[in-house]
Amino acid sequence: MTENENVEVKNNTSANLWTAIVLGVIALIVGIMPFFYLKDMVAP
Amino acid sequence: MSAVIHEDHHHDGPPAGFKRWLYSTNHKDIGTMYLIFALVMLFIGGGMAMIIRAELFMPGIQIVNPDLYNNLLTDHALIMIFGMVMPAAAGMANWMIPMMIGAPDMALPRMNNMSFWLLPAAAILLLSSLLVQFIPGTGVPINTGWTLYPPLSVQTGMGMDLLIFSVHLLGISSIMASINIVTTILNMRAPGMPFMKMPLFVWAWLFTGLLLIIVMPVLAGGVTMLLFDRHFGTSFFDAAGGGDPVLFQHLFWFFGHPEVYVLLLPSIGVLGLVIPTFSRKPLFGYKPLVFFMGFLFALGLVVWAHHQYTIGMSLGATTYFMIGTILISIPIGLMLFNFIFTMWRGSLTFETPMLFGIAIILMFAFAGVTGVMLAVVPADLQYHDSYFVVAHFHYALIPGAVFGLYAGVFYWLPKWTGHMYNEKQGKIFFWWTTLSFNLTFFPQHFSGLAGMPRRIVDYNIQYIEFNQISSIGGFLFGLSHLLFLYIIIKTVKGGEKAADKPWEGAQIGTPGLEWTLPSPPPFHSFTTPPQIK
Repeated sequence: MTENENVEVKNNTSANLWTAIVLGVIALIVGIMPFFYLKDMVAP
Repeated sequence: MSAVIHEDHHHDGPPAGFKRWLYSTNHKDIGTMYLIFALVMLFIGGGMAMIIRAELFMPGIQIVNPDLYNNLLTDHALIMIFGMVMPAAAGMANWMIPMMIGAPDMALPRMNNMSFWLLPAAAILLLSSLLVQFIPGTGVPINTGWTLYPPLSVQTGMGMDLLIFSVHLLGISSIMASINIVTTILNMRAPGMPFMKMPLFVWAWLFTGLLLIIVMPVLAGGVTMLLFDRHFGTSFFDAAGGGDPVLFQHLFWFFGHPEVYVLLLPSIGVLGLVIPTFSRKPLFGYKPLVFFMGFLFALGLVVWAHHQYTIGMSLGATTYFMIGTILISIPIGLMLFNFIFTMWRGSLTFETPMLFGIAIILMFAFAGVTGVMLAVVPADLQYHDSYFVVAHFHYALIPGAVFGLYAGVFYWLPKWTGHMYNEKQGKIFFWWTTLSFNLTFFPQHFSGLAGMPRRIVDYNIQYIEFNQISSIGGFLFGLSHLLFLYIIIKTVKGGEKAADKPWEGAQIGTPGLEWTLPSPPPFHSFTTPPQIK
């Protein structure tokens, strides 16, 4: 194995966090959707 | 594809003692913990299956009472799905994806730690939900089956609350793990690795992760609504209060059907590596396979109600769900043909992973045939809730998901441990599991077609022969896993030294970078991105 000096090491932290936030928000929206039935289906 | 790699000899090794595992942010250690957890749960869930099969050996009630039987049946399913197959696949993803794409670790290592450590807590809650029935005054055991349909699930005792909390934790763990895996694949690929050069296993996990992010929260929402109905006076699923029990079925299966593909896709990814490796031929139709997985992902999201034909949907809805479901056989059938064409005129050898690969193609295709039968509404109205369905989904999930994981374990065990497993023992395990699996589940097609209902502790005497064959097969199938455990422990402890690339055709089998690392790989790998040629 040889050292690779040609590759630029990039910092992914910001991109990783933003991707995780976007995916997490999608999960939250999908998870909240079933509760929209609350309006009609709470016992009178 | 080849890579020039900088190996960092100055990194720290693993921390000593329990801190290595409790505080781990290392993808290999966390992958190992996922795999060990899955193995433990395999034996717990399998033990429950043994009790079920022992009870069904004879008609009448011998070992467990009906409610306990149904509780064991519920927990067997939940443990095998959430405790075994998903963690095992996540363990493989943790181990292999960073090494395949040339990343130093997962994108969010601390979240990775949390994703794993939620699982033991969830498992304790899940097992408590079974044990709490033995305390007086805790109400009726969970007798609903894994589908948790109301109104029954609203009426059961406090075990159901523990189960709901367990599902919450399992859901949070899966969602976080999926976010992590998807983020890793999107952002952490080494320079020179575009999407269309990723190994099929990585593609499979990209779709699996996205599926989980979309569907798992719906189950979490659904069971939370169930919890509200049980304790906070809502009537989401109570017709007397203006709610609808069928709503829960829709929410459950909106999660439950894609969940089938969550279980299947990682194994299809493993097949995409194993079949070319031992055929010594590049994968036939890599791009179409990626497209078929995408098609499966999209179609899998919109056909959930074929699990509920008997609730009385409109003709338009049933027709739509029937056609959509039958359409799914097209990408799956084409995938299997791709694997067969990969083998065609290849230099085949039949090591244990390859044997499992071929068995998957044959037996999963069989599940596909019974799946098309079940997709057809008038036929399904006859088969619904019979043992035919039990036979169908065990043929789909054991060859389709579990055998894929076994293929993966035998394929990567040399890489993970640095030792070759005993090939002869691996082959004995393969034949033992495959034959006993068929002995267990093949007769259930006939008992189902003859009318034996599922989820009932007792049965009519006319089904006794089928059930006795099934039970004997089940005990043999369960017993075979002791050999599996023995092989794993023996390989971890020692054995013939594995080469960096233990399989002759490995580099043909996968375009990933995992074979460029030593076996076992160093604690930290790819600290400097490899250059891919």
